[in-house]
Amino acid sequence: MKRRRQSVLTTLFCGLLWSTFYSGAASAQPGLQSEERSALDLLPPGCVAVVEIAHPDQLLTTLTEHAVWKKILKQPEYHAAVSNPGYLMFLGIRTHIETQIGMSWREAYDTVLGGGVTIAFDQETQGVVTLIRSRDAGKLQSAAKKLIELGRQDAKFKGKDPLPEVDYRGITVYGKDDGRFAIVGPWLVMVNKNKLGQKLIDTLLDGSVDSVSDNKQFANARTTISGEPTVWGWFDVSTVRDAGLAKGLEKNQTPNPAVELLAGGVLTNIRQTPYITAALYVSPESTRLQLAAPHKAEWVEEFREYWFGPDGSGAAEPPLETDSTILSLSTYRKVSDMWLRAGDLFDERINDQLAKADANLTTLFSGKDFGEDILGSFSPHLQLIVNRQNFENVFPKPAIRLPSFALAGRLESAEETRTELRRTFQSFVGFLNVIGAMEGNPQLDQDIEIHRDNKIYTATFVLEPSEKTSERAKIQFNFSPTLAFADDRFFIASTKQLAKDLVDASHGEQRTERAASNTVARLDTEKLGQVLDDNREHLIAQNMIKEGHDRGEAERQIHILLELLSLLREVSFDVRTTDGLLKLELAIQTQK
Amino acid sequence: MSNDIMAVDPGWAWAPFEPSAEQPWNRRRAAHLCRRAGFGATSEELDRIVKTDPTDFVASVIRQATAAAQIDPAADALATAMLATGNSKNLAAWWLYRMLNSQWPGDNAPSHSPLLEKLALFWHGHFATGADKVDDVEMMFDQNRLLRRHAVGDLGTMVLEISRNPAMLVYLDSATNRKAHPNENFAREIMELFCLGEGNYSERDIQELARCFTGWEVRRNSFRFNRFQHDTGSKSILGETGAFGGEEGIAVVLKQKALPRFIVGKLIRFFMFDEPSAPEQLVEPLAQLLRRSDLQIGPVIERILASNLFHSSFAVGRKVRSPVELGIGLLRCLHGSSNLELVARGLDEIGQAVFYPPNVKGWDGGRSWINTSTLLGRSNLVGEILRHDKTRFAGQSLESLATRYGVASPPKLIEWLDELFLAAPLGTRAKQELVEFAAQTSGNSSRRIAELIHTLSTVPQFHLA
Repeated sequence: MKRRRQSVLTTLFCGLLWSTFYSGAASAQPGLQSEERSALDLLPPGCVAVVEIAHPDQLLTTLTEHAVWKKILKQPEYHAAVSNPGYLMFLGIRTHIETQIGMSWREAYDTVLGGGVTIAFDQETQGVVTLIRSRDAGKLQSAAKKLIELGRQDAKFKGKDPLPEVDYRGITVYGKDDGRFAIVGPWLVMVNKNKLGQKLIDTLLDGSVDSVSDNKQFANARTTISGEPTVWGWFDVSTVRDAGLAKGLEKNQTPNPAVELLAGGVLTNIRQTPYITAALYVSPESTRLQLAAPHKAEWVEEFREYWFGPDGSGAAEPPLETDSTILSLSTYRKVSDMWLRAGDLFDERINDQLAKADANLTTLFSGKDFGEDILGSFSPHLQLIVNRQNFENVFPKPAIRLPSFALAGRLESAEETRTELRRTFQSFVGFLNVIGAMEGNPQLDQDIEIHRDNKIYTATFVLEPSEKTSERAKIQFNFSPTLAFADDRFFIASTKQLAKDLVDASHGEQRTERAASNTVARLDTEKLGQVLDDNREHLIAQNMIKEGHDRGEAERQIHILLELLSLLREVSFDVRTTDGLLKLELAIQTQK
Repeated sequence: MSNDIMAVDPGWAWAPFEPSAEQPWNRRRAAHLCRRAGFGATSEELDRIVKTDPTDFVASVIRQATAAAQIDPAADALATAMLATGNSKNLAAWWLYRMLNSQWPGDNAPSHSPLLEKLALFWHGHFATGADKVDDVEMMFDQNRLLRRHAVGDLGTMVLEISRNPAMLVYLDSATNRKAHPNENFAREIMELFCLGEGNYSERDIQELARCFTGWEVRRNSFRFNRFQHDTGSKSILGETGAFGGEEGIAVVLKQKALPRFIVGKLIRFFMFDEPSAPEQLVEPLAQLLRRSDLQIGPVIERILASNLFHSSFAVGRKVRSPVELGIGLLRCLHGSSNLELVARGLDEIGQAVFYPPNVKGWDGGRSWINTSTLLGRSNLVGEILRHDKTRFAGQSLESLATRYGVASPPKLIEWLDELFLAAPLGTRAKQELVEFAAQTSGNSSRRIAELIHTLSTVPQFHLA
């Protein structure tokens, strides 16, 4: 199998090179009907997946002129990598070829791929086709002869012709078995199935009656494109689903509650939607991946309404953030409904575990039903906030400095539930103290503070005299569990400081202003880098133990990790239902 | 020379080894010394060591260990990071890192001393304390610091400090010791396991010594003397009578003639041969040396490692490699590095988890290292380490290492490995079989070398130190 794949790759690569230098010759072929048509007009109507890179030359320019790439070029590790003998040999071969063809590799790349690259899967033939349109066939013609000569000379030594030829309707087809290519006018056609190749040559020579562009779904999908994506793809999910090729999609259930909370709604949509599109936008400032699929509220099963909200209208609140926020995640999830619908969402094993957890939590909450009464008192607007902790003027300083984190939400009936939450929080801290005392761990001291007229319930670890000025204190000193309220909001935070910061952040906030997103998340990579840098010594130590590096090597690796992270600004994620589509966007903002 | 250890002349046995035409100071002898005094040596180190006089080299090893013992590992950033995790398993990986990255005295700047690491491991087995029961990584680390501090130094001070060591007291259920109910557990171990050995004390001595330790407690992970719980009455221990406290009680034990004999016997077993027990006439000269030097350990170790007996057939190949010697030795000799958490887990599976001795007697050692399950496990561990994707040799592949030493061909490679790893050389037939095996092995060169070493690890000689 591996050898076969290598053979396909070799053939495709040879084809690519060959086309670079020989496409001009093909322009003289008789009966050619291909000049004015796009790749989409050429693809068979039975294609179920299409990926299109409209301007590969621009993509390469963006990448090679990107600030990230320029920074990588300055790294000593890069210089070390390009100084190794293997790479130098590659450069020598490349220069030789460039001299022979009379142009640089970059000029050759732009000329061959400049008209675009399209890859598709045809269900009828079960074949994959790659269509490459060259920009300037004539310019390459003379260089092509040189390259062919080089190829033939190389083949003489090896004793095998790497490109056996066959004729199909006057077109020379190169390659064998599962990897063939042909040059037809400005087009390079590469296929892994003969029948598919013949179809395409017929279309190129005779003109097409029907193509994937005539597929209604495909045409609809094209209309959803916004801007000019660097790479765009379309996947006919309904055909794949109907053919029984996606068994996993037949299940309602997700493997665990975390996956369900994050992606349960997406699974529901994939089970119904006819197609998915993917668009990748690459620019010097950012890289964005947008996935979109048609969505209808009536597709949502009753047990997943907790995810989308009534009629799919559930929207997350704008994320709460402070100056130290590393990660903010805001969602619309009616967790109470998810808890009560667990029987439909999870398998028996998970349900058994949830049943045990429900019994324990019901006991902890003094007999109140955890799913119905406690989770039911939370509004569906839940947030997770992760902050960098500042230990600058704080003692003791833990040896491992963890970020603080908090769960934030709103209470449906605040007055009633606040008391219940407070009492449970204090009982839980008491329980931790009993366990801690048995294991000789430090005790938590409970207190109540007033902050902006709100009560916050704190628990801080009691210090031993020797720990009061410690700069390498135990990991526990990252935590001071705190419960805080502000109007109908509640915050369960790992530290008192974060709880206070969140009370400050929510102060005077306009509640009506909500994002249209179902889920929105933002990761500040600069602050993430700072947290890693806070723990640099620990990361180095872990690297030494787990990778077997000496200190110098470990320091270099962690330095590279932090340098790479410093090239990014933020990563964001957004899920929303809009204009009859479920849209997911992952965006990476980079440093300019 | 007689083949009977009982008939060996002590004068010859402890005289310094003098190389001769019959007994040259060569790479194989140097490898034997480095396996016993540490965890083996690389090919380059052996080349360097054989250029020095063996006695001078041993003296430099002792000096290096003595100097390294004064460096507190608390200043070690790696230790600090491992302590921060609060997990003694991570502390085990830290110790293995030190063992692996120790260097023999030479031109390079001194790093960790192989002998100090080896002695710390010896004392860890002698004053066995298990992290599973102590359940506090800081306490375990503090005990390790203590063992290092005195590993080549004053035995008396080490015994006194270990007696007040919180990890030891917790491990022996002596965190509280009231005068109404003296805890005999700790007193018994002092006499039986730590200082004198069985038959050199009575039950009465144990009871009386236990009274000396009343009031010795552990509070907030530190030693505390509770004067209100101390029995101030008169005690009679090993023929001496007085209102002894714990320190005086230990002083009485340390004065016993049995002490140096007991300790020297264990050192001979650890450094020279598993079986039989060293005869009295061989123990006595070193016991006298230990007593004469006010219980300083370094001179005894130096005498052992530089002796004729150490380089004789009574010692060479007469020890079974402990799991730590096997795993760390494999990497150490091949310039290797790997995921040490994986190595620590592997060592645990074949019977030696550092910081987790099986009981207060420590590891039995010798033949007990090998049984039907560990024999396969030892070989599997060798294979697992060699094949692990994090394992590198001088930062590169096994193929690069073999090329670097000019031993890329199977016959040369086998000769090279034989000298590096084996106390008892392979026979011609065994070597030929390995060459044939190498010819049949498929895969890239590194893979083939790894398979060859893995196969070598199934040979009985590979398991002898």
